[in-house]
Amino acid sequence: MEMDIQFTDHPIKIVSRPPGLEVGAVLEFLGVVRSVENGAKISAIVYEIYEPMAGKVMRRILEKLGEANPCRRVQIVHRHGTVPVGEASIHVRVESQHRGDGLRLMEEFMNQLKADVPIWKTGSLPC
Amino acid sequence: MAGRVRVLFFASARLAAGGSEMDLPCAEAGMNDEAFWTRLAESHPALKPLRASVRLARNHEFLAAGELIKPGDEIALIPPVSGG
Repeated sequence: MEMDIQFTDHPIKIVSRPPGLEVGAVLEFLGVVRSVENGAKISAIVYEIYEPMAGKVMRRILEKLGEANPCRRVQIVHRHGTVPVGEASIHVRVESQHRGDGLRLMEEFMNQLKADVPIWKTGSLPC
Repeated sequence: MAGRVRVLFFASARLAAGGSEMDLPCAEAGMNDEAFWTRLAESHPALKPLRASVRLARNHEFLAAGELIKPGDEIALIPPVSGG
């Protein structure tokens, strides 16, 4: 499975490339900053990433998930620094031959990201 | 002869430590997580209450049970994560 993992402190730009001819499903997920966090109105969330470890842990999670749910390619961009409301903090794109594998890998990857990948919301900015 | 480990602090651990990194002495034979926390709490008592919720990573991998920390290692304090 091809993996492309990147971190950026700029707005995420989604560059779609044509999937391979053997790909039957292309899934895209955007995690977007909401205007309300823990009951309070906010204007942005600040993210912090331990990049060398985050990339390594993501790769390990994807390799393991890919054994049970073979996919062709996974592309991940996670933002750090200040992310304003309405902008994406993460973009995940999964290409698979069959939709079931892609959907399961996407769902489980996000669950494990939120449990084990060293990325933190370190604060929010008020409105 | 004692060496040193580089200790990195993130998120709530960085706030409690008052900085993002420090060096800590480490015996050549290494130290377990118990010895590491004891040594760390001596220099940064504010980190002690975080121990229950913070995991340790050694050279970008979560520290396994019984694994020793050795001189030259990069040790990171990993508070509960919240990415995505």
